[in-house]
Amino acid sequence: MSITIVDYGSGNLKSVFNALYHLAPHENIFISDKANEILNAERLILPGVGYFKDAMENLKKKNLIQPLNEAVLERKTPILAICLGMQLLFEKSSEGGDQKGLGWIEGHIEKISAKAPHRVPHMGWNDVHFSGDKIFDGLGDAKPFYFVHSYHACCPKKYVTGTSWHSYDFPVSVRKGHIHGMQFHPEKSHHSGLHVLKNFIEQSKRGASS
Amino acid sequence: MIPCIVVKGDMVVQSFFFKRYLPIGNLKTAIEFFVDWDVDEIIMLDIDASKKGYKPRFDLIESVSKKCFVPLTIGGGISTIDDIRDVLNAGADKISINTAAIQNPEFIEQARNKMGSQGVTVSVDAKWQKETNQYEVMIGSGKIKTGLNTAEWCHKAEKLGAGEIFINSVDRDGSRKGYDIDLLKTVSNSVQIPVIACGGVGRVNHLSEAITQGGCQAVSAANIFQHTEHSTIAAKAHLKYVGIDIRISTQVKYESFQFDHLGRPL
Repeated sequence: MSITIVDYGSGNLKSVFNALYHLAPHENIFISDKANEILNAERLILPGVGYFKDAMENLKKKNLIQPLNEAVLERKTPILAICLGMQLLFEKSSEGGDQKGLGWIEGHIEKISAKAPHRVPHMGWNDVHFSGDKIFDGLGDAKPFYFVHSYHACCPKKYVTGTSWHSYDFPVSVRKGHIHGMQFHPEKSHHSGLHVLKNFIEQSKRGASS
Repeated sequence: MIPCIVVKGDMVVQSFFFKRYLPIGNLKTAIEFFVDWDVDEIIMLDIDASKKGYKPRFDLIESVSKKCFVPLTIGGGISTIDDIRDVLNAGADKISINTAAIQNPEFIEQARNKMGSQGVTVSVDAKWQKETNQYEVMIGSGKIKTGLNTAEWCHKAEKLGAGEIFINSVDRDGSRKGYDIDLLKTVSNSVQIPVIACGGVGRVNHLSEAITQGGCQAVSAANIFQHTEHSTIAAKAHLKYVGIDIRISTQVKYESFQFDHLGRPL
């Protein structure tokens, strides 16, 4: 089986690759920016380090939006979107002016309005409280993960699988069917992060129940 | 809690007042040891790169990042957008810029536009100057004066898009006397973004002072984490003991560390 990491010029590709390879060295792990490879991927990872506007422009420039839409919305390819990647899943973001996202999940992205002593970016380790989704199986009720972001998602509760508190509670993990999004970096969250990645790999295997 | 690995070329070194450097060993081992022993992030700074004019060592970054499952910040010799892209592609999660930002402040903005401010750490080396009664920003391994006031420079860096400030004291570097708390206070009061303290830690209880007295959000140290076994674990045990909200992994044993009423290890 294989895992394809989408290369759109704005992700920490190597870190994601290293974590996946460490967990599943027997799988074929690709980094790709080619439409046909994304269309035919068995599982997709959409990484993210950067700027919302930059990311959407890169996706457009590389003609990846159409193949991603087809892979995820029509072929129902399981996808895990990380950090900026998760933010792109939504309809729009206020970062860099009003920017349109991929629109796969209803909701929008807005700046974290932290009050002293909390600072923005929300940076460092913070507990994620799980709401029972099996992507977090084996981790109990809550575990710390690594965050580094200045914006967060606002979306219907039914899609929220995990929240964190930084001045106030906000969603940091979402799921709409086979589409997963995580605001934190599982590939940088040592044991808890690697565990979640392992769950995604196992649960998105062809034939695994969803 | 973020160990700082100081590298000269491909040798890990201990730094003393930015003047004397003692080689202490293998980089890959240092990183693997830190990742297993519950550190929150790792910063790796190549202090020769800017001075000697060479680029970041991509091959080194690639090999050490393979098993580094905590955030890795790479600094030293990054001066162009292409350097940033190459460093990220090699496995870094965040970048740290120092000399390049001072020589060309717009580079901070360009870096922010490329990767978002959260990926951009501006590292500042500061020295107390009696004559001008201020902390002055230094470059060239703490030897070259820039004429810049530290608090003003940090504030400017934030305005240009820095996501974090890594503040290092030239005076305290390697001294084991503890952080320069006045310097930390000056910097943390001048910005809204997170500040990482560095320079001078001799005992684990020095670490908490950066937070409780210096107003910082993260603590870093280089030398003390390089020779003592389990030093990162002792450090976290201390921080937790004095009431700081720090992540403790259930995989690591903290019970064997005892502290006196001042939080000093017994």
